[in-house]
Amino acid sequence: MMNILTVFNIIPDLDLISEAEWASDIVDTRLNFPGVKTVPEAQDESAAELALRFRDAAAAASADSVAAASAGSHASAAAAAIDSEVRLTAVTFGNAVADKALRTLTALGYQSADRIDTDRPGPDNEESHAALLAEYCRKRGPFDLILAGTQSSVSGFSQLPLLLAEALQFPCITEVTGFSAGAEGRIRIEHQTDTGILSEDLPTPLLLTIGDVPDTCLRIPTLRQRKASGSNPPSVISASEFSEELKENGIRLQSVSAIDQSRAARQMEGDTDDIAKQIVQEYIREGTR
Amino acid sequence: MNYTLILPNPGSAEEDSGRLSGFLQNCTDSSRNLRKISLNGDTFCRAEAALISLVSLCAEDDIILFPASIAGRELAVRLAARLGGTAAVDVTEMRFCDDGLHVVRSLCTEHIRGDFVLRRKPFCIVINKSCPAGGAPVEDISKPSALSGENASAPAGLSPGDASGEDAPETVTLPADPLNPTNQNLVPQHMSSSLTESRLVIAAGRGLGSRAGADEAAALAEQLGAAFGVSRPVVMNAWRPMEELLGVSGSMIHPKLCIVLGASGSPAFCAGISGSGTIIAVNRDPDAPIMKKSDICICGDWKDFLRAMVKYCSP
Repeated sequence: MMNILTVFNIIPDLDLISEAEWASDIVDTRLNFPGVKTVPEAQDESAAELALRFRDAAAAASADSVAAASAGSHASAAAAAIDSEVRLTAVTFGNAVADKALRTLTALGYQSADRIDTDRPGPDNEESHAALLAEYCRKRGPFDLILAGTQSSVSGFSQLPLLLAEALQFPCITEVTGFSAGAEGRIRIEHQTDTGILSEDLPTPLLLTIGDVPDTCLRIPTLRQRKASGSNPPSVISASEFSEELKENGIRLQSVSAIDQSRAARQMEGDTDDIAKQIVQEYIREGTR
Repeated sequence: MNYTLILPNPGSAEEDSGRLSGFLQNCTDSSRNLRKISLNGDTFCRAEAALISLVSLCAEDDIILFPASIAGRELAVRLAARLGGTAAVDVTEMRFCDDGLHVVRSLCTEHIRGDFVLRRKPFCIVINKSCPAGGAPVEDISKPSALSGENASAPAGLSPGDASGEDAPETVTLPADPLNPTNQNLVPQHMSSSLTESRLVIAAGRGLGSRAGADEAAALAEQLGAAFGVSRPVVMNAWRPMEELLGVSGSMIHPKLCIVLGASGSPAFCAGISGSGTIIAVNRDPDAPIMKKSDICICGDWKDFLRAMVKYCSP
């Protein structure tokens, strides 16, 4: 049995906030965006989808093994099926707004989806949230693979998975772009490094931070899958269940202000051909004389 | 105060050293003990191996600086955790204050500037990749004939290493990989220097419409002698390779002229091109945010404009 945990965060859809609203200094240090529609973090979504693909591949391999062994002993076929079994769990932080996304994951085949009832991870609470998540993993695990996105749209680079790896003393591979079953019970990981794309087989347990992976939007469950999974809400866990006191964070967000990226914005009007000619003349040709 | 600059990638150690030194010059006074540590690994800088050495080497440091690389970010956060310190990533400014260390970094995909205070030493700081070597401001070129001049082929800003002027780094050879990997295969990826060094860049966005449109734009850019970069939606749709990504997750460019085609102008994308001397935006939507973030804006179709440019650039 391979036990996989996906850390899956729901965030406000920042694309729905207009430039004018950003410029109006409407955001405060809590980085709350009340009323704005929420979406999954893009890289967390990739992580959830990659876990599903890993499960599908394992199931396909298992079916192949059973078929191949059908002429052989029944015991070897059963053993192959058990070895390739994958159990998927998702966990998130936040309020009930996240429940809809967790229901989607259970409809898609995640065996369990948990919500830790506390504020969502932000740029100055990642240490305390990593400590909570580590406690969650100790109680609900053990997990062979833990997946989380590398970046957060709200916080930028996410420290949380790296801090979690340290708390659990898990080896950590960053900027992962794919993973599959490797040789000798290992996991084959493909990840971006500063020198290139590295593929390697590594033993579990591992924590993988997922990078930008094209074409990994989370699949949409069918109506049949939704009905089969029922409408049960995900299990909600109080943060106090894990720890009496939250770990103190060593970083504090003191103030925020809007970033102004505006420039002169001189408009050129007229025929596109004429404008292109003028641009070439003024900005390219002049320089090569 | 004890400062250490960590150089995790031998291949870019000189450039990283220049950037980190330049950042430090801008942020601190001269009363500092500074050293540099260059990490020398096998295939790449495995954090599990590097941390074994760094925990003992950096135990007495106050500030440990890292470059904005994949290894730099991972090492900073995990080293801070092991030393009981605090990490901050993608920092653009830093100074000491009464409560600890004040740092600035962006939030919400470059919409917001956040001012933070770090309270526990050592402070493990990853500088923002937009920080130029030597801390010098990017050359201000917002006038016509931006591509002219004797130095037209050089990128704006100082060349890497100009500000390094410090002692040579100590080289630390990393211990054997504790993860004991098997079947390793590295496909080297030399990040295209054309994007970061070219004086003319065509930067395109979702408005390209399709993979075919993206390929046509890239081909036309090549005919213009321009480097070609794209926004995040273009690579996430797999229209163009990841190496061409511009923005906070990709390349931060400093060309003298950047022509933006069919990109809405998200802050994360614009942060990647903000070092450009002149930005010309072409977009069908006159209200697209990119229009206000450019020096010259043209409302129109990118294909018509780019084809016409190629026509007039041809000998």
